[in-house]
This record gives sequence, C-alpha cells and structure tokens, in this order.
Amino acid sequence: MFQLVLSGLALGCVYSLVALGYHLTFITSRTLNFAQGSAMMLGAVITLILVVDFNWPTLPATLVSILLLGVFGLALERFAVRPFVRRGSMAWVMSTLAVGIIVENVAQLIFGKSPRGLPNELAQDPVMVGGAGIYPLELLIPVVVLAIAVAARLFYGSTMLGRALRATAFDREASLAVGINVDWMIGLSYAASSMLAAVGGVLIGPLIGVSSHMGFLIGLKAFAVAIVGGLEHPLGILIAALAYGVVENLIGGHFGSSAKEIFGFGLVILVLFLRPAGLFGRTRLRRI
Amino acid sequence: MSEVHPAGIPSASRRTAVKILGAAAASTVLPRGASAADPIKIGLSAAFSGPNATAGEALQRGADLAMEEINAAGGVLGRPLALVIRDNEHKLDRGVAQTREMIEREGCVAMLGSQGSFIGLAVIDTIHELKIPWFALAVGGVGIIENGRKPNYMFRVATNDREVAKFLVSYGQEKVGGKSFAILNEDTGWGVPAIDDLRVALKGRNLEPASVDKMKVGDSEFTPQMLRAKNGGADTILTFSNAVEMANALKAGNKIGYKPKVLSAWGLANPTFPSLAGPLADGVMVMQTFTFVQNTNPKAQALFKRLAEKNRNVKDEMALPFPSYIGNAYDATHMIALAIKKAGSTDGPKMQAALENLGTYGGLIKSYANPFSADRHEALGPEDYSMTVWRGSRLELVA
Amino acid sequence: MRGAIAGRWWLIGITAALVAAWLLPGLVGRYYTQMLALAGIYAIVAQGLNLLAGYAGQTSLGHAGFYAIGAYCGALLATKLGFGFWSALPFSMLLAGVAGVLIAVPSFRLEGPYLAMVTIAFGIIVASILVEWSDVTGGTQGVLNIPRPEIFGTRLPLERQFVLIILILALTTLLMRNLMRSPWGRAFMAVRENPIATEAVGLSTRRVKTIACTLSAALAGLGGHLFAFFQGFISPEAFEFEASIFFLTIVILGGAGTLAGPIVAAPVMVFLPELLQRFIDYRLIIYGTLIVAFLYALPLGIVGSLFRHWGRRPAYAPIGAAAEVATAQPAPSVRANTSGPVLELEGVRMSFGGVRALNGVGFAVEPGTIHALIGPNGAGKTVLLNVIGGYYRPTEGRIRLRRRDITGISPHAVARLGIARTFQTAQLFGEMTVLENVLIGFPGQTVGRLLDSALVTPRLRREEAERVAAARQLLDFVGFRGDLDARANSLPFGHQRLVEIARALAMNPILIAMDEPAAGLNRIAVLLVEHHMDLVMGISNRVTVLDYGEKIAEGAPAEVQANPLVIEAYLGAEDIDVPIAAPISA
Repeated sequence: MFQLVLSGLALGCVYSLVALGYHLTFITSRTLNFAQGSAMMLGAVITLILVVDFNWPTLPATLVSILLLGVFGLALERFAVRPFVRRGSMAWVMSTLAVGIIVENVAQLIFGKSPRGLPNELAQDPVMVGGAGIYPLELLIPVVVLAIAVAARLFYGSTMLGRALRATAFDREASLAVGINVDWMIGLSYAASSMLAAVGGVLIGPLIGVSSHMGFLIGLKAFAVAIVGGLEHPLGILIAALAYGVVENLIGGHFGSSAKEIFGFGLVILVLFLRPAGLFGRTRLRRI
Repeated sequence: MSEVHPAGIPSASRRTAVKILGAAAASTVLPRGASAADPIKIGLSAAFSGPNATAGEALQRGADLAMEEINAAGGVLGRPLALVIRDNEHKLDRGVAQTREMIEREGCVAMLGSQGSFIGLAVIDTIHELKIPWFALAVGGVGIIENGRKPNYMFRVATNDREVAKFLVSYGQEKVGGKSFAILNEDTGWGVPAIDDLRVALKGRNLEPASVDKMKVGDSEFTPQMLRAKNGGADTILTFSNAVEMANALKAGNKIGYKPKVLSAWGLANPTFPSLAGPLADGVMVMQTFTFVQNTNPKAQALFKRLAEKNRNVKDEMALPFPSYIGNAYDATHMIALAIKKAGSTDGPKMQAALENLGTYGGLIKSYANPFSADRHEALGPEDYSMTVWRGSRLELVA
Repeated sequence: MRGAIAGRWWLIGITAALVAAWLLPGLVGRYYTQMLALAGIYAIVAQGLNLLAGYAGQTSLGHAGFYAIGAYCGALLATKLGFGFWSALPFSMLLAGVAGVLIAVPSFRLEGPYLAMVTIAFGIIVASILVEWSDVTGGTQGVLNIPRPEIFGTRLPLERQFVLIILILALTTLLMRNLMRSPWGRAFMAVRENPIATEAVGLSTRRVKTIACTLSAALAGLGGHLFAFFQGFISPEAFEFEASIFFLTIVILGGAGTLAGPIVAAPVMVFLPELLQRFIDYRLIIYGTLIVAFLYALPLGIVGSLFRHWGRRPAYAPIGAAAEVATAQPAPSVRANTSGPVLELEGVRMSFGGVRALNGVGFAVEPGTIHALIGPNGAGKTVLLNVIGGYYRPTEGRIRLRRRDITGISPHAVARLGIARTFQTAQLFGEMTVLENVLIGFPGQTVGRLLDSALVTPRLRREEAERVAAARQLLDFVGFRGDLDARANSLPFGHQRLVEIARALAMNPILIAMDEPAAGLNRIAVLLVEHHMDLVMGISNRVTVLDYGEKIAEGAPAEVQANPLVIEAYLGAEDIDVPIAAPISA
C-alpha cells in the first residue's frame, strides 16, 4: 500500500502542475484553458521527438519543448481566447476545447498513432524507499514541483512582472488604470500555464508512455483537482492534487481501474456540493 | 463576417489545390497500377485514428499490396480492384453504419473487418441481410464466425482466440517450463472474453490461474495487478493486451521486484513495445501468424522489399507493426480475388459458395488447400501459429 | 383567436414535416434516411440541452450521461424484461429526469467553471459505470438485439421509424415553444440573464434550475431511448465525453436559445463527418477548426444570427387582441393595511470577515410613508438593503416584516412576502424585452403552472392576457414611453430605471426598497436609499442617517438636516451637493 501511496504522490504532483495552469489563467482572466491537457501532451511529444528521433540529450530537449509551449500558450490566448472572452463563457470553453481536439490530431499526424516510450535513465531501475520500489524519476517530480512553487513565490513577490501579474489577477480595471498591459499579462499567464503543463508532460512521459491522446484524461483530472482545491488557491490545488493522486491509486488498487474515475469524480461532486468554491475557496461576495 | 473576395483564391493556386486534393482523395481509393475502368471495390472499416489506428494501417498495407499485384496482372474479370476505407474510430455505431454504407452506397462486393469483436458481432445481421462476404482479420472472437447462420457469410483469416489461448498455455507449459500462470488481459471487448478462453485452456491441462486481472486501456498504474500475480506465485503471465498497457505492467512489476515470463497474443507485436518497456521487453514472447523477420519465404522477402520502397521510413522488418495483420489482409484479399474468378461474378451468394471451395492458394502466411469449407470458416489453425520473442528491438522467431 | 396548444401555423408545419418524412426515404434512399433519422434523434437531445444551456444558461458538458441513461434503460428493459418501445419509454424518461434532479442539487450554488466540472464529472461517471457494471450493461460489448419500435404490434421498418422520430422531434419542439412563451420560459431566461434579479422578483433560482435540469434530462433520455431502439444495439463508446461535446456543439452552432437552432444544426453535424470521409486523417482537425471558425464568425449560431435581423418572438403566450381585455385600475392595488410598522429592524449587525459594515442599526418604516435612508459613501446603506432583502444574513439582529420575523430567509421568499426592490444599477434581464421584464414581476405565475405552460391551456392564456394588460398599464404609469418589445439592455439608463420600478410594482409589494431616487409613489411604503440630501428632503416623511454602519440620526427631514453629527458626517465626505448625473426622462 505504501507503494501505491508513493507513486500516487508522484502522479499527484503531475496533476498539480497541470492544475496550476488552470489556476493561473483563471485568476488573471477568469477564463480556463481547456487545451491544457493537449499542452501537456505536446510537451511530452516534442521532447520525445527531439530525444529519440534527433538524438538530442534530454535536458536541452526539455528546455526547447517548454519554450515552444510558452509560444503555444501565447498563440492560444491571442487567437482562441481573446476574441471570445467578450462573447460569454460558452464560446471560449468550446473554442479551447476545439483547439485541444485540433492539437491532439495534428500531433497524431506528425507523431504517429502508437504510444512510444520516452527513455530516461531515471525511469529504469527502481530504488527502495521504505520497503517500496520507486523509480528515481518519481522522486524527482515532487522536488521539481516544490522548486517551481518556491520560484513562483519569489517571482510573484519580488519582481515587477510578478507584481504586475498579481495586480491583474486582483483587479483588472485598477491594473489598466495604472498602466499595466492587461492583455499582455493574460497572454503571459497562458504561456506560463502551458509551460507548466509541458513540464508535467516531460516528467510523466517516461513513466507511462507518450501518445497523442495522453492529455485528455489527465487534463480533465487536473481540472477536477483545480476546482476541488479552489481555482484561486494554489496551495489548495497542490494539496488537492496530491490527495487525488494518492486516493486514486488506492482506489484503483482495491477496486480496479475503472473505479478510479467513478470514485474520483464522484468525490469531486461531493466536495463541490459541500463546498461550492472548492475545499479551500471562499464564496465570493457579490457586489449588488 | 469579412467579405469573401468575389474571384476567390487566384485560379492558378486553386487549380493546384484541387489537383492535390483530388490526388489525395484518389490515392486512398485506388492502389497504384489500376486503370480507370470500373473497379471492383472491397471495403475496410477500421480505426484510423486514436489508439487502435496502427492495426487499421497494417490491414490497409496488406490489402493494398495484394491489390497492386492483382491489378498489375490485369485485375479480376478484367477490372481492377480498389480498396475503400472508412475510419470507424473503433466505435460500434460507426463500424456498423459504415459497413452498410460501403456495401449499399459504394457497392463494395466484400468487406474486411478490423479490431473490435463488438463490431464483428453487430455486423452479422447487416452482412447476412445484404449477403456480402465479411472477413475477420483482426478479431479472434469465436462467436463472430460460429454464428449459426446458413449460409454463413463471415470468414476469418486470423487467429481464433480460443485456439490462441490453447497455444499460449501449451507453449508455456511445454516449451517454456512454466508452472503457475497468471492471466492479465486488457479490459476491452477483446481481452475480457479471452479471459474465459484462457481459463478453459488452463482447465484443459488441469490448471487454475494463480490470479486473474484486467488492465484498463489508458490507465498506467498496474502495480496492484502485478502484486496479485506475484503473491499468487505465478512464474508466467498470459496476456491479451496491447503494448502500452503491458509495458506499464512490466514497469510496475520491476518496481516490486517481479519479473515473470510473459506469453502474449498478437497485441505486443508492435515495434513501440520495446521503446515503451525498455529492457524489460526482452524475452517477452508474442504469438503471431506471420512476420517478416527471419522469414525465408521468398514471397515474404519480395513483399517486404516492395513495402520498403513505398514507405521511406521502413528501414528494416521491425518498422512494420502488426505484421500478422499485413499477412492476414494480404491473403484475404487474394482469396477474395480468387473467389470472384471462380464464381465468374461479384454476386454475393456466388462468391460465398466459391469461397467454400477455393482450391489451393499459395499464400503469404502459408499455402492453403481449401482454406474454407461449409462447416469451417477459419483459414488458419494452431498449426499455423508461430511464436516470436523480443530481443532488444527485434521480434525474432523462436522455433 | 389563435389555436390553443399549437397555433394554426404549427399544425400546418407539423403536418408538412410528417408528410415530408413519409415521402423522403423513397427519394433519398436508405442510407441518407438513416443519417437523417440520427440527426433527428440528436436534435431531440440537443433541444433538451438547449433548454438548460441555451435558455436557462446552465452550461452542461455532461449531457451524454442523461442520453446514456435513457438509452440503456430502454435497451435493458427491452432485452432483459421484454418491454416494448412504448412501455419502456416512460421509464427511460423518468430515470433520466431523476438523474437530472440529482445533478441539479449539488449544482445550485455553483457557477461557471465549477458548474462545468460537476457536469463533466457526471458524464464521466455514467460512462465509466456503463463499462464497469458489465453484469447489467454488458460492459464494452454493450447491448445487442434491441427490437425495433412497434406500433400496434407491427415492427416499424426504417422508413416509418424515421417518421416517428420526426414526429417526436416536432412535438418536442412544440413543447419547447410553449414553455418558452410562458411564465416558465421567462423564468428560465431570467436565471440565465440575472440570477440576483430573479430572486428579487420572487423566483427561486434553485427551483427554476431544478426544473430546467429535470426537463432537459428527460428530453435527453427520450433521445437516448429512441437511439437504442432505432439502432438496435448500443455500446459505451457512443456515450463518452465526446458525445457531450457533440450535443453542445449542435446547440451552439444552431444558436443557443433558439427553437430552430438544434433542428438546423443537427443534420449539419451528422453530414459533416461524412463529407470529410475522404480526408480521414484530417477529419477531426477540420472538425475542430470549423467549430472555432463558427464560434468566431457566427457566435449566435446559424439561427441566432438570422433572428438578430428578424427579432425574437416575445415570451408570452399567444392571446387575442390586447384590447379585448378590460382595462384595470391605473394604479397598482394595495394590500390590506394592518396597523403597526411595515418593516422593523432591531440591532442589525453585519460583519464581513473582520470588516464591520453595520453596527447595530434599528429603525421602523410605517405603512404608506416614504422613509429615506441616507448617509455618505460607505455608510452601509446598500449592505443594509441587501440584509433586508435576504441576500446577506445579519451577524446579529432581527428584521420583521409586518411583525413576522424574516431574518435570514432567502431573497425570493422575502420578495414573495412583499418586499420589492430596485438596485443601484438597474438589474434587468438584459436579453428579455421591456414587457417581459415587467411580466416576470407578477407573483405566483409559475406555481403549479408547468403543465399549463406546456399545453397552453385556456387558464394560462387568460392569466397571461391579464398580466400583459396590467404590465402595459404599469409601464404607462411609471412614465415609460418607449418600445415595449425592445430588449432591456438596449435602453438608456433612465428608461431601464423606469422598467425596474414597473417590475417592482408588478410584484404588488408591501414595501419597495429603492437604491436610488424614484418618481412619486404615494400609496406604498417606500424605503429610499439615497445619499444626496436635497432630493430626499423634499419627499420624505422620515429620514434615518447611517455612518460607518451605525445610525447617527433619525427624524423629520428638517431636524436631520440641522443635526451637527449629520453635517459633520457629510462635510467629511466628497460630494454633498453635487446634482445627480442622469435625470430621469419620461
């Protein structure tokens, strides 16, 4: 059982990366990037192509992949979100969903239809931790997430850009008034969100295989995690993500694979019923 | 909405675009070497997108190869053969609807079927209503062929799951020396019924499975299943699954220090398996009807050369996934052509009768002598199965 | 007088559709008939989704779940228990409807992405159960050999099934049309346009959402049931997330909130993949690109964009010439006056986290008087109104309406008990017309009227006629002289104000709380919030002054004006005597 908990934590960390992407775009623009799962997939796919087909070493391939996803995020916001924001929520939801479909299928055309392995020495030989076997990569993942969290804290707290982003998240009108280019801020948040997803993809790829459709279910679960944690609360999302990863694995261990979705999403509904703004959210008071 | 320029796209590039599109469209329908005369159409409804797409492609390759040969030799009854394909996305409603559409609208005289036994089962009604022969090329479900219809329009050039199960068990016991077997199949319309086939095969040798588990497609965490197998004392795993699930299972097993022998149905004959499982793929055995690797049959070698010419990224035999499907489709297409010749027409009932009396056909997988008869619609039997094993990134014949 | 349950044009239309459906298969062949029949089924499901997502504004990304419940219920009843198409139908719809209620309950307090999550989760849970519970559902194999629909013992061939589907689609659309032109339709649209205002006019958003969800689910279940019997076999892949997206796309492409939208878009979505067959590899890419292009170029959908030019038919039941109805009193009637104060507040405290907005406020409003509540910005006036209105529950204190304790009851209950209010910014239902905005104010129009709305009974038509006449008079009374069929959000601010007041009057209230000045009203007690003194002094009987959440003065206007505390409070503020921006024009 400890075995399942450990791998669950690693999986949960990947969920948290993707989920934080939802959080980022939501707080700056009150929109959600439903192509987040595809971004994760792209991160893994681009890295694989560079490493396996072009024989790049892993680290540069990863960095290039992340950068490319940043560009993807900018383009996504500019062309699939911004034109639709003023038209109401259904429009950008469908639009980002459609982009996800397009991206997934373009990837399939280029990458092929079969899942392929992303080799990584950290995913070859397990080490023993407390009696359970775990791949070093699974241990690395939480470290990476922690590092990102710390870096984000510093960034938001100490840099001008970080402060500007926070300002936009807090009050759009006021930010506009003090000369912050809100459109750019939102674009950046989409870029950051896609890059986070890419990191998640690169980390999980060696463990589960890379395919053009790997993004769908993980993207959805990450969304659930973001909602349950409270879209505006990164710490809540982190906790929710870890919990979800572990619980999912434990349920899968005892009741079989499909039960994971049933219980997992069932829990999500229950949580939202009891706490409509997520576990850690607070219901916004509306100004009437 | 912006105004569209009245002249549209400049005419030169418009014409080029139309040419390209037209060529693209035509290329999926007419294999090279065919003339423009009224072709005889054979339909293939398979998944060409999503996780099952590789199988569809392999079937298409095999059929295309056969048709090229036949057309180069003048076609059948003076007409070329043409392959009509539809992407059914591995979905039941599409598979059935497309089958009907290809027969009624496109005028296909025979149908090739891909993966998905639920599709195979569901088209039985349509096929017998329209009286068109249907070939199972990638499904092993027994009920599809043994369906109680007379005359029976469902034929199979592929493995039969019941026989595969028996083959795996006997090979496992006799050739590999396995003592205790665990069953680990994928949770699909193929893997689940095959669990029973495996149980029956084990029972036939007075054995009970050490553990029985399913793997959900798309899931990646299979530690619980491997733990149960390990705790059940199994030294061998019997599996009907595809590459990514089994690879993840092996990785999970590796974590808990469990390295059993693995005997698999054709699902693991996918060149991505070694890339997914890494060194853990070594020694995994996969049963097949046909492979290009180490195949001394000159026909096979010639065919492989042609495939390599057509596809630039095919560098060696290993680059072609699911060679069994290529072989199954190739032989089935030739059989259909032979039946038409024998019947002297493309009329369904006549073809059906001709198929049951085909005579000899020197095929790719084997040399067939009357592959079908009135009470046997299975062209292949356990005697035609062979076992291959993964060594590094190559799938080699064992015996 | 136009026809009852269906107007003359509707009867003609339905007959024509049925005739066409009868003849079409002969003309286009079996293959196309099959596709059109599927399109018809999808249109039925999409109509249900249209009700929920288009009219009521609750986006559902899990509708495939209801569709699946209907399909499997019908399929299993038929194959395992020998039910027929008709005998199983009520169960399919009922089960789907119950699922609708179950989903509505956790969704009440949710909006936007949170609501989307619950609907997605529901859809995935249903899809997973279909696969997992294989003993019952057949797992991945699905259910085979479902019998074809029968009429009087004969199994219908494909061509007649098509006619049946078209008939059911026509009836479904008729039902939608009736509902949307009834008080319930207004209620659905109100929830979509402005949930706060919905509560303010006495409609429980919970109740409305639940009904919308239930009806929508039942219709999806109907579609699923049809699908199972039409196709003869079902398996779990037809009910995955992709299906939910498919139905939502139909609604959007056709035009959310239009009747004809789903009917127009369903065939498009069915035939599009067929047209794209040749480009197999590119099919889904083209599909996705088309969706984005459509959303960009035709955001209102095909039908919605057309309607923009022609205008939407207003949402009230067809009636004869308005002149037929006898004119009622020009002034709003007044509820019986009891003695004693209409509204009493005692020790009301309201804190938000650490911020104390109200600190022990108490006063009483006498019947038939105008009581002004003034104070500088930030004094807590709007907060107090919201507490009275039930939007906030006070941390301490009591509120009584005619001696009845109403502290902390929900806003729609407060509204029903007789408190109407207007807001600082006029809270109208933007996409609804002026007349519809006032119509929705009349109390009790949805209670027990669901069936009437669906069937457009004589009772409903009479009540609607009375309401329309009364609404016209109210609008006239408050001085609105514009187009009654204009969309509310196209009005200038002052006109919106008038409409809001007319709506408040329509509620036949005991007390109107107004968060801005209003035209003269002398029979109803008025609690008027204002921070410009001069306006208020001339018209009020009594004035209460708040500052920093506390009452600092009360009395007749002249006294209050002279009170040193009041003067100090205002001198400290920015704009004492600046006249109001927009004068109310008649």
